Amino acid sequence: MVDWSDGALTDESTYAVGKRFCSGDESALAEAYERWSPLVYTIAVRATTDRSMADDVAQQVFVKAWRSHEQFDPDRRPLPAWLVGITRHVLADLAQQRDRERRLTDRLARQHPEAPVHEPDSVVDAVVISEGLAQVEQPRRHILELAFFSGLTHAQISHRLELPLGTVKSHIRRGLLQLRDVVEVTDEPS
Amino acid sequence: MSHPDQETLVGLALGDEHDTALAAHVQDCPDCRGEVDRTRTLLAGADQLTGGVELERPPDHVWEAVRQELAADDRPRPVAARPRRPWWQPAAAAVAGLAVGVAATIGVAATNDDGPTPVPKPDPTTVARGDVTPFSAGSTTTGTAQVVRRDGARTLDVDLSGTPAPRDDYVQTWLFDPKTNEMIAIGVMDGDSSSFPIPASVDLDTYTSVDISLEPLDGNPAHSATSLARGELRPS
Repeated sequence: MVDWSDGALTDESTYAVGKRFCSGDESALAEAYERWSPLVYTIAVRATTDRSMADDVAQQVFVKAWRSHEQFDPDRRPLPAWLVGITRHVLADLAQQRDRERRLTDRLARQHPEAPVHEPDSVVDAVVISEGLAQVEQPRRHILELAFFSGLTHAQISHRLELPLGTVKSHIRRGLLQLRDVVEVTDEPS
Repeated sequence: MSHPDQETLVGLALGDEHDTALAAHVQDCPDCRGEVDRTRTLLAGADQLTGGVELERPPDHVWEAVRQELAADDRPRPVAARPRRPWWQPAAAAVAGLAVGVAATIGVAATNDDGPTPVPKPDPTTVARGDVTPFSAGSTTTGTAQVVRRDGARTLDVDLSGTPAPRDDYVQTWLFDPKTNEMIAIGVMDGDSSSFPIPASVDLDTYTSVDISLEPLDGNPAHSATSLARGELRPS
């Protein structure tokens, strides 16, 4: 498991906010919104590509989170990971609803169904990976960024950073394992 | 071959391992294959990244809307303030609950505008009904579903038309909760019209919708995911 005790997504105060949140302290809701609504909103904007719909998704996520605050367990996962999990559910419901409406419209209009591929999950993963990267230590973070963003091969990264190829490969593999844990903790059943 | 370590499996997901014995092992080992799939899912997410993600703050009205919606939860609502007879409950229970209902009404009478408790209707009574309409692509199944109360027990009466004659399959009726998609198997249709008892423990305030599915004869009791028709039950 990733050590959630430090890094950008979490720090020790995250646990404290989570504790207050699950006990029903309303100031913890305000604080959670202050700290993590940008994470939720950015995912929503990227997944819906529609700002008013993204507003609605963010609203639903925090309303749902507060209504079920008693189900949140700060010892099982950090609060932002749980909020991202709720965001996944809200987006999945939305995609299903759009799908149903589209099928209905298609049937009524007797059109060939158009199929805009809608994969909210990988959009969520992308934003969470990006945030998770911030908590990966150097030089591993830099190596992963080069691998993800620059399209350089492992050999090219090794050449550019003047590191042995084996070291680069090992950093990439360990870094991916680390990120995998960060992403998966947001995708557990709540 | 023993299980390869996690890093080797990540390498395999990256297409960076070329050992044929390793590939053969993963092919046959569900655990290792699961590991590789987990990494592939991650890589699919990473593929969407073209650079660092700049986080964006939602507009102020979103927080306002959250607060307003949650504030509405705290306000006592007229409906919740007075225990009312749920529409599915048998008449006997309604009479027993009446005394409590009257006592509880006194305090909030001023906010109530939904009239006196209706007189229980004689048996048999249709307490809810709904039309079912085609759901999956290509389905032509339509019909009606009714909850009928007879002698204090409830039945679900289903009438369908446009359902294909059974071949290697059968048609099944379900009640489901549209909020969670949880399903309760109610019974197998015998022709176009069937009547099924609804267990007293089933809460029709939660399981408000009817699903008609086409089930293959595969011995698997779970829903096939092919819904011929669906409809919502409304109190009548």
